[in-house]
Amino acid sequence: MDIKRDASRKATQKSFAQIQQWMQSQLINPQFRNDYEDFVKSTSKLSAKQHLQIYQRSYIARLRDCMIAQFPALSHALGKELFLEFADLYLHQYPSKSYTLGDLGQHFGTFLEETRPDKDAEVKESWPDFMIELANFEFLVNIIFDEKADENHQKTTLETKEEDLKLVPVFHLYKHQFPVSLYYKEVVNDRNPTLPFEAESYCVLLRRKYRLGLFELNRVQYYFLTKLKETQSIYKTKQFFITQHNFDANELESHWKQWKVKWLEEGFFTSTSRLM
Amino acid sequence: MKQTVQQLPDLGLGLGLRGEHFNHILEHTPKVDWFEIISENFMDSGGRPRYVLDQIAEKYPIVMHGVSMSIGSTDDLNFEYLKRLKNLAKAINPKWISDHLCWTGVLSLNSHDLLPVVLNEESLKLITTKIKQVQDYLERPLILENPSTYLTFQQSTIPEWQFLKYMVEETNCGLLLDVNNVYVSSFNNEFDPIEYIEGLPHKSIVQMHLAGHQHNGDHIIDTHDSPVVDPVWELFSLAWERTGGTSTLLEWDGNIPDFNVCHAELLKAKNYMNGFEKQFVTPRVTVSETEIVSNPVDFMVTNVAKDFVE
Repeated sequence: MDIKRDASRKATQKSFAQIQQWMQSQLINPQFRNDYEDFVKSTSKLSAKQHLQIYQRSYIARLRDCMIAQFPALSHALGKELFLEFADLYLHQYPSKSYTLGDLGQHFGTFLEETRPDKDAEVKESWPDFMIELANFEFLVNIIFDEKADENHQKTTLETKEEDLKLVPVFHLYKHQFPVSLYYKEVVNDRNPTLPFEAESYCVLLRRKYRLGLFELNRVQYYFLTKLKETQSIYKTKQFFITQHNFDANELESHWKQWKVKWLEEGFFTSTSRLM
Repeated sequence: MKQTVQQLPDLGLGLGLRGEHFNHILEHTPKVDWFEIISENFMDSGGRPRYVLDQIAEKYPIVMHGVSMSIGSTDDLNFEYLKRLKNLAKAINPKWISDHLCWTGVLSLNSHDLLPVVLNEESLKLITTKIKQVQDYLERPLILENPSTYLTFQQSTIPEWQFLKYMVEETNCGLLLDVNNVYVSSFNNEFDPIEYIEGLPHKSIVQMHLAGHQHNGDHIIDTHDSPVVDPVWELFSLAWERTGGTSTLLEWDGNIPDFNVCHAELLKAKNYMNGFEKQFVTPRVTVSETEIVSNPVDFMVTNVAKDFVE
């Protein structure tokens, strides 16, 4: 009787805050304890521990599902089992502090960097670099998908004056140590790619009419578009390459004509003036 | 507050707005009375979700339903969150804003689950204080939903229906009665779902939720991934009679079928609006052998890959 009364008193003495901190620690850092009965009532069907375990199982399963949704290519690259091992450790080390699930994978690239197996080795392996690049890229794709921008674009054609051509507002250029964007596209198009070899790559991730587009670039195109994004002037960009990098004006113009056709088609541009 | 709960309209039969149905709704403008959005899916969106919502909000009444207010947390309210919520409300003019009687985390962490609140005088005092703060800030009544729960705390001294009643009396907030959650929680925590519904302050019930669940034999998981089961329809029938009919919405968040399948499931509600006593329902319970996630949230993470153009 005394023991029961003690247990009952112990249970009722827990404050609201203590109860919540106890339950949260049981979700984020579950450890064997013998105080379940102090907090949770048993029922005729389940013990106190079994009731709590429903939340414990759901916590990790739910966030694992979200991590896979945010990092489909990385999940493919690592294999689901290994990906989930990393995800579990990540969620333990970086539990969510945000009200939005959109931020869930925010630190995943950092976590992979911190936990890479060759972290202390003098000679690094290259595959962790690919995984980290891919993780960082995938998180950015999620951010850019929802980026705030005015997308009331004017149609552009070959007839649009060059001085009126501007890059669309959501336009991000990336340079990678591995062919990250190609690999990403292969995964999201269900083409089951194998892990790539190290090879510098360039891409642009843009949004047009709220749809994302991901396009491969070569090195010159990448730097040309980087300058164009900075100046928003095709004339100034061409002049920069001719005067600062000694490009032959005719050769650059010839390249530009080809790029322009392709990039107009791919939706790189909007126009500052309405077509007549 | 400018508006009271009693002034909120009966919107009819609505559906939870899900990304899978965006194109269908934009192309066909289906005859649905209203849509409920998950506030967090749109409040930070400057992309396609928000673009689509703006178009839908021009044609249909919208209700904002949140999962992150964490009104039952011992942490302070997150006013940055509330600011974004209010901004979205200003932009799309929802009929009301709802969330859950739950907490999602403490010590600034977020479990992204709708966790059960200990139901006693201490929590009632803190929660009613926070509801008043939210209502003052949003300048409108807050509508709170009974969550699906899988445990009862030893320290709980007030039945959930009574807690909700006290909450309403103290704050004039409204209630979103999730009939499926009543069924799920009553099975898991061994209380009488009929007593629960009978005891609620019916005039303050602004909205009802319907959804499917998964029965695992010794417990039920609120999965929102299947049709509504007969015992839940039966409870809906009772709640419909007691409330005199109110805005009703079907949630379908996992294994989301075509729009027309969801809509047809919603319209079944019409068969259960003729009075509790007049209904004859043969309970149909299917027990599942595998357990899946409660309160699924992966539908809230945009599948960006689907939205790519090559």
